[in-house]
Amino acid sequence: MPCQAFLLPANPASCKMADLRRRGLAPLAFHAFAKLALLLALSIAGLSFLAVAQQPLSRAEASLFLEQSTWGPGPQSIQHLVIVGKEQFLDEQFKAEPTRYPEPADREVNLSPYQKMFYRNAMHAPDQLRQRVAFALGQILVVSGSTLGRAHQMVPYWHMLSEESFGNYGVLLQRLATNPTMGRYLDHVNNVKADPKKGTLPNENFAREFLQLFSIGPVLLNPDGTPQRDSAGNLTPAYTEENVRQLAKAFTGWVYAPMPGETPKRRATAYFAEPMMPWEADHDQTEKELLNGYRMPAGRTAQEDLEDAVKHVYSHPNIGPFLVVRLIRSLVTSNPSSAYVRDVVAVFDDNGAGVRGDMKAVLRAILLHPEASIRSAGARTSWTAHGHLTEPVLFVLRVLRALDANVDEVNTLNTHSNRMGQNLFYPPSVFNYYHFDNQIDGGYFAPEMELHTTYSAIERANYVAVVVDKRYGDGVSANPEDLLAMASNPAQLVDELSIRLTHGSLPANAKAAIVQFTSGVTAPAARLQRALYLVANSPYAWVSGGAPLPSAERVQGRQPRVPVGVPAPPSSRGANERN
Amino acid sequence: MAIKTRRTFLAAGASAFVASAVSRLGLMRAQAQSPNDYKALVCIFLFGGNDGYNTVVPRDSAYDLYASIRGTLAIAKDELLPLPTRGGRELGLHPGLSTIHPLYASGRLAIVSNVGVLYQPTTREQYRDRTQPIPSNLFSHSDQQLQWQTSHFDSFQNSGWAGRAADTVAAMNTPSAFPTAVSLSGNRVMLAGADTQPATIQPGGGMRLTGNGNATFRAAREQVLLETIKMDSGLAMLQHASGTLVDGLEIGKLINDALASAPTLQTTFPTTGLGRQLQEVARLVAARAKLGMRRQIFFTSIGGFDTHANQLTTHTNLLKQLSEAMSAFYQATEELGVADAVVTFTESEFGRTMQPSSSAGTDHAWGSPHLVLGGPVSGGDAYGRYPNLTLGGPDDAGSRGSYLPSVALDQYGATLAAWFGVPSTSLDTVFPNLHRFPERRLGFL
Repeated sequence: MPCQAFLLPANPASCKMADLRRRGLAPLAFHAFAKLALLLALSIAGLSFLAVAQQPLSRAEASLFLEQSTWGPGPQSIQHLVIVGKEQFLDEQFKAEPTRYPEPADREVNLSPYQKMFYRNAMHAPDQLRQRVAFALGQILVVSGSTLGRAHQMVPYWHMLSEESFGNYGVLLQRLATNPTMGRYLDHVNNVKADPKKGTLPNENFAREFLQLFSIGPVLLNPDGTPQRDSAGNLTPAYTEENVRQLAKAFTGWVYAPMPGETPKRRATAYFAEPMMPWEADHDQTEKELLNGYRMPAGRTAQEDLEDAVKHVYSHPNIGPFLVVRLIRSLVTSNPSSAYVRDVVAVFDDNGAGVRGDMKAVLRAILLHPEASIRSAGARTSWTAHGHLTEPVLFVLRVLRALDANVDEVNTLNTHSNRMGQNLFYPPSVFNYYHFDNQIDGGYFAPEMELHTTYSAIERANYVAVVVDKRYGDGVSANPEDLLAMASNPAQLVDELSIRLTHGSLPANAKAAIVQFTSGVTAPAARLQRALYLVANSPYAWVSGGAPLPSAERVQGRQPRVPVGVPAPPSSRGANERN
Repeated sequence: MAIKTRRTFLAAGASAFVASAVSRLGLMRAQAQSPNDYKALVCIFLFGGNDGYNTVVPRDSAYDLYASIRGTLAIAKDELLPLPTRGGRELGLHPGLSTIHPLYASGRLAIVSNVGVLYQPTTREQYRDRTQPIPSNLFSHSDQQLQWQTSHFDSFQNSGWAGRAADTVAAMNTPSAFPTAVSLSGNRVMLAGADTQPATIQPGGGMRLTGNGNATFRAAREQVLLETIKMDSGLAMLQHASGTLVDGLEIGKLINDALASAPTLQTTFPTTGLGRQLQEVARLVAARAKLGMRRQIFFTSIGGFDTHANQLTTHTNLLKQLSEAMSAFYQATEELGVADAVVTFTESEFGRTMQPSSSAGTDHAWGSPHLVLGGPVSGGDAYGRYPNLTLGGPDDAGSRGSYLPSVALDQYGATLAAWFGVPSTSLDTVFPNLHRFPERRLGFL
């Protein structure tokens, strides 16, 4: 980072990048500038470490990084990243305007138009990393359209996840605990203290899942995310049934906030735009004993109890490894090494300024870790199970972004991810579409593989055929002129598709077979169809970051290849919906 | 506890596949079977934790205690469908299950009271004082769903009890790529065995590559696709990703061929998720000869049983769906002439607390009644001991009516597996805790 700053002080050109890009001039011009600056810096500084640090990214490296930090690499984003570098790219992402959804016109609007907006935003809106992280958080703090199928119930929740994607996990948990969408999903709203006359006790649903799924998990963890075991190999439960019962008591006494113009009441109309509000008469004021004997005195208000309970749980050392493993699995690899998890957990626990749970610092630590961009086979043994299966929603987008396609708000893309087992916004339960500890043969973790069945694998291949045949219906168009222009040279075409869809990792023997089949026709469109079908259906494209970067892409001092004739995005692109 | 989904032919390697096919032939000769010998087990998993004590309710003197604890969640006595037991008890079935209720009187439907995960017979005191091993994470959905599938209660296992059961009978099926175990409801560890590699399919077909272009072109493209994705990357995630596709295409060809020539079912199924799954099971059963199958295990499911709030309506709707799909499936087995060869049974991760929560629902508990349906079932009776419902009483693990199982999952499963043809010498491998229970098989099969 310091080198980058030294090289390109405050990056004066970056603010104008959008303008330049729109005119189709930026990448080349900017690239030339960067190269010049690099030479200048090297000659002035004369320090060898700078040469390593400042070596431009290869297009393959850029593509791998974009697999991890966006909805998929495309020709423009690869070029841009090659020029600005990873750290600058992250800075831009942290500053990008957050995409927001419009408020629904009324309480009857369902989630269908919002599914379409989601795909459009993921395709085109600039806040790519924020959207990826919000999606990942939404698979940890799960709510589902199967219970909450109206947009007014969901939009504020999505905005909360988006805001805290670059915020703080501790703040997010506090917000979660008074969020009416979660309140409704896990029966936390209108949860009443014990009633001896009726013989009822507080509902335990939210309290239990808060511990098991949102914060610490069921067993004690080591700082590298592995479960702690005693000398006999036994796991240690992180909480007891009594802890769940006591936490349920602490969480009683919350009701919906009044709708505008209404007065607060106990059983108010379900309202999701504001946090829930306390209703003291329903709150259990007896003493509670939480984790490790922590006592909350009797007589406290609902607000005091809730805030203190969340703060208390958040102080548990499990939180860091619990969250970090999940984020790494969502973005980079299903099987991070102990060192990778430990390094990021250390940043979670302290961002360097004494702050715990700083999401930006955690994301930097995850995405800039050497293990995220490992380069050659043999660098570490667990390479055999690196990367992660692109889940259906991500795969649908990745193929289209590689083609620089255009997606608007009438698209029906969710049909395709649904066929692969992932109906956007409708996870089957609070346990998400798949479990974070799902495993495949060899004992490797592979969460997304739970959705990868003998049926859905065929549907995945058939989705690629839909794109190849342009059968994606209204709202999607793809005319990759740059790729068509390469079709006269099938080897070049396959190379370029390999860069965009497999970060250049497609091996030579597979390339050769695909080039041969592609050369069997002459029309550019037919060649692109053949090559795209086979590259996008290779396991190198299905698994994100699953194979090492090609070593040839990393030759010292080699200039990154930039394809010519890349069309500029139409100015209508990236027009994200705002309220 | 982690989940293991499936292995692939690619990952297993061709040599292992050939070896197991050869050993199958030998085993098949050893077990002389009649040409019509066929048996199938069908699991219906009730995801979320079914409230078994509102599914099967006492109608005798214990009803008053039930009603006083359940309060507004109690089902009126006169709405309960009578389930007289041979032991002289009067139980009652939830009115939502009316379509399968007649099968109790005709002896096809059995109740198994209070089934749950257990290492060994366990008393309230032993549980409270932890003086013997207790299954881990008892009240967690994800852990208990896995434990019910694997019969392993403390650690990750890469096989399930149905998959291990399938291992022992797979030799009776004609060697082919078609698996003994098939899930209609996602990848499920329950069906994975040491050799058994389950398939996961979807009701309503598919299972073939589609795309524009004539058949010659698509065949050529498929050939290049298979050639490239079968190249050994040495990378586990990649091998699994494309191995699953290779397997799916193999299995798809077999299914599509077999279903094309199988008789059309006349039985009408409900258009619910479970109805469609069981209809597809019936279609595969109809195609059993073409597929070379003599032993099959199927996994189906219905979700939504996590009734923490407003339980009465939700639970009734779910049980109606269950009942209508089960009775249609039973009819279909009669239509196909295999009613005496197919047994359907329920699983669910746990029961629910007898004491309600403040939001007219119930929380996570432990033991719970289950249903077993089919021609071979000694129905019209309840097996296992129905618990004393007293809160904090001798059968309550805690204070809210979370009942200690009186029938272990291993006993329940072993009864099903033994009927299915698992040799008694293999039952202890399939069910690792069975040896700690004196009664190895219950009488319902």
